Amino acid sequence: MSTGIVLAILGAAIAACAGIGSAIGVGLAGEAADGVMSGDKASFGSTLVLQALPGTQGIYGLVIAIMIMTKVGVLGGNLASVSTEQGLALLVAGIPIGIIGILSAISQGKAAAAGIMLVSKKDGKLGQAIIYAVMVETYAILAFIVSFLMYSGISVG
Amino acid sequence: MAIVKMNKLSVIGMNEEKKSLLKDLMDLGVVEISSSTDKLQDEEWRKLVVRDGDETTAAQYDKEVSRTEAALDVLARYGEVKKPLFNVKKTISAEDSLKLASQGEKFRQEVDELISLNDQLNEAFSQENTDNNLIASLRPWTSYELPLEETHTDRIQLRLGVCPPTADVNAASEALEAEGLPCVLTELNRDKDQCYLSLWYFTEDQEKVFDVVKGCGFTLAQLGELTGTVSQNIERLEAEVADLAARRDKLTADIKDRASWLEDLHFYHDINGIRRDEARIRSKLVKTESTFTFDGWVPVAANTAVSQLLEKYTCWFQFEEPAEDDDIPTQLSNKSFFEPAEFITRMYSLPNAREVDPTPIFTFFYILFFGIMFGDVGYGLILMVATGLVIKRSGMKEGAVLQLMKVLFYSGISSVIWGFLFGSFFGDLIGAVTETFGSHRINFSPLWLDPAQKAMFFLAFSCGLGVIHLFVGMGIKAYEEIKDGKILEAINDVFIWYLIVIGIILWIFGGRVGENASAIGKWMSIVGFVLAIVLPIFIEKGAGKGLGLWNIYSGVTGNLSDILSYSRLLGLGLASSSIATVINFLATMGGKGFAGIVMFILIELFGHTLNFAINALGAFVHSCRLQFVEFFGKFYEGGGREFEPFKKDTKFVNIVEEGK
Repeated sequence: MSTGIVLAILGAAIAACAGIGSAIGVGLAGEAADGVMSGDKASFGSTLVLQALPGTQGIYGLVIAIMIMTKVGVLGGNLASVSTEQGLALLVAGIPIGIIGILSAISQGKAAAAGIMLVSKKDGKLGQAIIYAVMVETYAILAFIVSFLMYSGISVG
Repeated sequence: MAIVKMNKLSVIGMNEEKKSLLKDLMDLGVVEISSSTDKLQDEEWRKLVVRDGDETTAAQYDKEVSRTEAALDVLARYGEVKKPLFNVKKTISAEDSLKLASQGEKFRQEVDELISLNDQLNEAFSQENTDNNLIASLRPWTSYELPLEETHTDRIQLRLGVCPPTADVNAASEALEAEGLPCVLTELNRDKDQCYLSLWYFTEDQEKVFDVVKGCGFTLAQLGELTGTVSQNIERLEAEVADLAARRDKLTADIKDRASWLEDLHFYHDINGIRRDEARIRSKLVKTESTFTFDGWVPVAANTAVSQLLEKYTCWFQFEEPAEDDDIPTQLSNKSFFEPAEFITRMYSLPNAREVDPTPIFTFFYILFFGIMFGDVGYGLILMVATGLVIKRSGMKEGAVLQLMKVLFYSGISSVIWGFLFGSFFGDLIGAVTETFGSHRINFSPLWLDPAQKAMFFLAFSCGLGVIHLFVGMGIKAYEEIKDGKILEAINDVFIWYLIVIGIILWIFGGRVGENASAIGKWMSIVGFVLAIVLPIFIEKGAGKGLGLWNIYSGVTGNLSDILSYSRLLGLGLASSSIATVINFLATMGGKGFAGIVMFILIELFGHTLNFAINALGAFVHSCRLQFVEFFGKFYEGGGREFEPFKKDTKFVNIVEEGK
């Protein structure tokens, strides 16, 4: 296995790290949801939707990771011949979604937790609460686009 | 446009006709009656009128409404009444409603009975609890065989007590003996919390005995006033608990038998609600000895109907155009295709009555953007079928949920169309299946392009759509400003930016279109920038004259970030199709064998369900966001107040007049 492939796998690993942020974010929102479910009049469905919002970053990271692994052939059998430079480029492609995914998911988790407080206090505010939390998501989407554009610009073999 | 024009209505009528006039207005249901607080704060008015009101009657009906709600709660909890997924009001004709209303006494008894059943049930519950607690506290004493009421004989006291489990009972007995106090201290039982003792002693030794036993933590047990032995008591209580349980079952069954009352209660709830509102509205009126008066709002279209109604009474009334500073309520009225998206407008804020209703304008963009972001034939079809079924089966006639379902249905159609354009059916499901289980890969080729292959082009396309969307929004602002006669402002705020944005785009990318395009773009933007500096000098006063440079800065950065924000169309579109592709890839990793097929089905079902849910939510929310932040940001004020006509505001039944 060449150095290039190892570097590419490292890139996939970095991208998948976006899941760290999602785990923390979903956890934060989950704590808030548990809190309000114990007393206030909040529906399970609305808190669940808000709790799920910070989960997308992990999925974006997963997608980039799997795409990188497929490109170099770690998934699907035949290893491609990847030069060190190409491998390094793929590693770099994993960084935007990896890092921004972590940070944005944590922030989104906090916004979602506050949104859960909002829906527990006032009826009919679910829409607004979701929108506030999703504002943060924009930056994860931008990072996903950047990672994707880098990834699709690199050809191996 | 799509905001209903309102007229101000003022009415002066005779007190003896007040009740029937208000009732007729309620039946008509098109007049919003404003509160008269303003009048009562005015000196002149205060000399003439006092506040009307019938709080006692309102309170009576309100009490009946809450009692009915309590009864409905009881039915919901024990009556095994199936709760429908979506609330649908039952339709009742006015004639039937009169007939039903005459049975008010019967309904009231039904409410009474349900509430009393519930009270009995609660009583049984709490009695059962008390008994169970008593049983638990008696259990440790079972080895004490004397009747509990025997607390003493002529000379001897028989006492029960407890001490901490760490206490040494033998030492206490020895200490008593050493003091020369003849008594019997028996350990009956011991658990991890306490040690249970009986203590027999001569009455005259009482103080000395207690001095000793207190040393080892002895306290008297509190078992209450019981007769008979401990075991007898436990037996009696257990029998009582069994009785109570049977009683509870019977009561629950009784409530269940009354589940058929649900419709009665719904009707009773609403009819009392209507009567309460009838009484309550009177506190918005003011009256003199023989007349009353109120102001209100009427949609212009309903003017004739209202005048016809009022002409039947001895009263004076007039319709007026709203004045400059009136707080006009907003009622939206859109054609059937656009009507569902009203709930999206409401989610942000109702338009105030003086601006344009954005609903019909953004509906098209909303559905378009949703389709691009969700963009998959399979997912789109599922969304269409699911929402279509809900719309058809539930029988809903109005409400935000129905509107949501309709918007999602249209968005599903849009997703299917974009799915064909992008060549996406559950991602690359067709390709993945034919490759794994068939002989060779058959691709579902896109009718237009595959965003993953031509990401850069699609990014530009997304931002281009964004420019159109934003320009439409700015166009509305220009329309409103020109309508107010502020033509220079409209040029400064909107048309200059058309020039600058198009100019810069041509300047940068025009080279690919034609030779001169870039130069044209350059000059367009330069002219735009110059105007942006010059115009504020004519429009603004004082320090505002220098605003031009600031406008350029905020306009350029604002427009740039707004336009780039539409890159989410590419981002979410890619996310939904690439996640689906990854799912298909994982699912086909098991190969052709039996285990492979099972794995394929499981992963496909789970993965696509998850992806569908995430991306449907994402497309819905981000399409909303593009309207709320980017589009509304260009022109929308909001802050409107919902038009709330005085009408029959019911929760469960719809009472309709004949012939409507």
